[in-house]
Amino acid sequence: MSLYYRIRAAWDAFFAPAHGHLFYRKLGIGIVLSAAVLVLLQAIPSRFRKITIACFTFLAGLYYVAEFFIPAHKMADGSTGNFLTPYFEFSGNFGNVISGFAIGLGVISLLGLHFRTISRFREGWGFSLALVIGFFAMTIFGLMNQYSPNKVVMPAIGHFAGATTSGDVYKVLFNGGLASLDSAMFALIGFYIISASYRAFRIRSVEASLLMLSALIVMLGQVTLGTAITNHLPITGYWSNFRLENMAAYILVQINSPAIRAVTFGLAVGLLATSLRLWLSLERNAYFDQEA
Amino acid sequence: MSFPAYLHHLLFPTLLLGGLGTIAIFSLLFRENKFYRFFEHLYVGLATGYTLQVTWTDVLRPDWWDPMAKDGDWAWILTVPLGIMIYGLYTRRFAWMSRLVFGILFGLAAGVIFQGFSAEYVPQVASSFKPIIPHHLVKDDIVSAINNLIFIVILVCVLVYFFFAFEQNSRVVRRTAVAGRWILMIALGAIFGSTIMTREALLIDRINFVVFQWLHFPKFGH
Amino acid sequence: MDPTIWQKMQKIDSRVFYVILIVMIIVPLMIPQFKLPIIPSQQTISAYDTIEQAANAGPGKIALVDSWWAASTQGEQKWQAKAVLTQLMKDHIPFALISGDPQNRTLTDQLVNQIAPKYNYVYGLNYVDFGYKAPAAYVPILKGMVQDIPGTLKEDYKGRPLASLPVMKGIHDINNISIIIEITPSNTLDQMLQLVQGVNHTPLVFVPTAVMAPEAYPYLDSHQIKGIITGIKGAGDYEQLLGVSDFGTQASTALSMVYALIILLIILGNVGYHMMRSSQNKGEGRNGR
Repeated sequence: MSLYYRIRAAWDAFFAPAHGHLFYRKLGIGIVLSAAVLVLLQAIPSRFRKITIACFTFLAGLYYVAEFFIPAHKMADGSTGNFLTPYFEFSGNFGNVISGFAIGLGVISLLGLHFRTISRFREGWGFSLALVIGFFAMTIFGLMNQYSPNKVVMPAIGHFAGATTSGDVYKVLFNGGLASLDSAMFALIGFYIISASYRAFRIRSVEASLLMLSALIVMLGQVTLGTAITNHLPITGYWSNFRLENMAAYILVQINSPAIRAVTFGLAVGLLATSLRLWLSLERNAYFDQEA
Repeated sequence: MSFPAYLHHLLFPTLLLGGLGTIAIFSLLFRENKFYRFFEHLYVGLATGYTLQVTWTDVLRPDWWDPMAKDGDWAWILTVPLGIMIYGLYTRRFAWMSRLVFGILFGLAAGVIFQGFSAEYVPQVASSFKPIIPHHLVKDDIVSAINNLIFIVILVCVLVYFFFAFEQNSRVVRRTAVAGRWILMIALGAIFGSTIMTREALLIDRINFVVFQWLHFPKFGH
Repeated sequence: MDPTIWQKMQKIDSRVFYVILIVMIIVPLMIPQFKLPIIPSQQTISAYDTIEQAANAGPGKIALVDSWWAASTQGEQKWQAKAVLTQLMKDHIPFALISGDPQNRTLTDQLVNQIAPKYNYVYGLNYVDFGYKAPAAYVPILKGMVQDIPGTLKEDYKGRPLASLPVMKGIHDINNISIIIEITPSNTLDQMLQLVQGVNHTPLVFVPTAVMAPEAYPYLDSHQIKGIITGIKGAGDYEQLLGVSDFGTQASTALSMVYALIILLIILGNVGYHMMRSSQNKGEGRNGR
C-alpha cells in the first residue's frame, strides 16, 4: 500500500468516532492536543503573529476556493464534485460552531455594562435591572422549555389560576414579550412614513417627479383601492395594459428588475473585491493593523 | 362577554405583556418617556436571552455537543481551543489569539462569498443576454423581443451611470448615464411603493392585536 | 407678519397625522362589511393553482415549506403562511417544514398547531418539522437534500429519526418533493433556485414580503417561479381564493385606506410647500420693488 493511503488510513482511524473507554481516551488526547495548540500559539514570537493570522485566514478561505476551482467529476454516490466536496457540510458546521462560541462576547459586553450601572446606582439603573431580569428569564425558561416544558414552576392558586409550567412562562415571554415588542419596533416605521409623506416627500425636480409617479402607480397597483379604480377596463386585450395592477407589474418587471440587476452587479463586484481582500489579508485598518 | 370574563381576558399574561409593550413602544411617537425606556430595555434583554438560548439549542447542541456526546465524534473537542481563544480579547496578553479566530471566520466567510458569487451572480449575468430579435428557437414574438431590448437598454444605462472608474467625457456616455439616473429614479420609486406595504402591514397587525385581540373592541355587523 | 395658511399647514404637528392613521386603520377593521372588492392578482392565482396541482402528485411525495420569517415581519408573513398551510392541509398534501430563522420555528409551530386540528393533521403522519438550520449551514444542507433528504437531515426538530416517521416513508431525494414553498422576508430565493429547484425544476412558489417581491418578477417571467404571493395583499387574495375570510382580507381594506391617506398627505404637503414658496417669492418681489 502506498504511503499516502497508509497515512490516510491512519488519519481516518485516529479521527474515527469512538465509544466507551476508547471515546474517553481519545477525548483526553484531544484535550491535551488543544492545550498544546494554545501553548504553541502563545509561544509564537510577536513579530510572526500577524503572518500567522494571515495564514490561518488564507487556509480557512482556501477550502471553498479550491472546492470551486478543482474540476468536478461524478462521485460514488451519484453526485458531482471533487475530493473536497464531501467536507462541505463539515465546513459549514465548523463555522457555525465557532460563531456559536463567539456569542458570549456580545452577552458579556451587554451584561457588563448594565451590571456596572446597577451596582453603582447610576441614572437609569432600574431600566438596566429590567434588561438583566429579561435576559435571565428568557435564557432560563427558554432552556427549560427545551428540556422540561411541563415542569411546574408555580402551583395552582385555588380556582383563580391553574398550575403554571415552564412552557407557559416561555410562551408569555416569547409571544407576549419578544414577538410583540419586535413587531412593535418595526411597526413604528409605519408612523414615520406618514410623517415623511407630508413633510419630506417634496417634488422639486424631474427625477423626484419620476420617483413619485412610479411609487404612486406601484402603490395603487398593489392594493384593492387601485384595482377598483381601473376595474372597469377589460382583463385581456390592449386596454388591459392600463389597469393599475398591470402597469405596476410592468414597472416592476420591465423597469425595476433590470435597474436593480445593474445595481446588484456593481454590489457583487464590490463584495467579491472586498472578500478577496479579506481572504488575502490585504485590508489596512485599525483592527487588522493592530500590533499582535 | 361578562365583566369578570373580560377582566380575565384583559389580564391574561401574554396579551397583557404584548398589549402594554406595544403601547409603550408607540408612546415614543408622542415623546420619549420612562414607560418606553422600560420596555425598550426589556426587549433588548429578552432578545439577547433568546439569542443565547437558541445558539445552544439550535446550533451548539446539534452541531457540536450531540455529535461529540452521542455519536462519539470526539474530534469536535478540538474546536474548544478556538472558542477559548475568542475570549482572549479581554486580556492584553492573549488578545492576538482572538484576532486569529476572527481571521478564520473572515476567511470562511470570504470563501463562501466567493462561491456564492459564481452560483448567484454568474447565472444572472448569463440570463441578462436576452434575444432582441424574434427567433423560432427562443420565442418567436415581437413583443418579447421589444421587452428584451428595453431590458438590455435599461441594464446598460444604469451600469454606465455607476461607472465611476473613469471620467465620462463622451457626450454619448454622459447622456446614457443621465438616462440611467432617470431609470434608477423610477426603480427606486417602485421599491419605495413596495416597501410601504410591508411597513404599513406590520402596523395594521399591531393595531389589530392591541385594539381587537387584547382590548376586545367590538366589531360592528359581525 | 401673520403666517399664511400655507405656512400654518407646514407646521401641523405630526401627532395629528398619527391619530388620523390609527383611526383609518381601526375603522375598516371594526366594520368588516366595509371592504373593497378583492381581485386576486394573476401571480397569486398561479401560486394557488400550482399548490392545487401538488395535491395530485400521488404517494411518495411531500411539499417543502422553507420559512425564514420572524416576529418582525409577522404582520405580513404570518397571514401568508397561514393561508398557504391552510391550503396544504385542506388538500391533504403532506408537507415538511424547515426554518432559516430561530424565531420562525416557534412561530410556525404555533401556527400549524392552530390549523392542524381543523383538518385532522397529525405530526409525523401528515407533516414533519425539520427544525431550524443556521444560515451558514443552509447551503450544504440544501445541496445534501437534493441527493438524500433523510441522510442529510437525519432527525426532526425534536431529535426523532426521520426514518421512524410515517410521513417520511418513501421520501429519499429531490424527486420526492412535489412543490417548494419559500416564505421569506430576505434574499434566500436565489440559493433555493440554484441548489434545489434548478436541479429538478420542482415547482416553486415564492411568498415574500412586499419589499422583496420586485426582485422575484424576473424569475416569474422565466418560469423558474410558478407564482408569487406578495405581502398582506397576497394573503388577502389567497384567502379569497380559498373562500375564507381572515386577517388578510380585513387588512386589505385597511391598507387601501392607509395608502389613500399617504397619497393625500403627499399631495397636500407638496401643494402647501409650493404655494408657501410662491407666496414667499411674491412677498419678496413686492418688497424688492
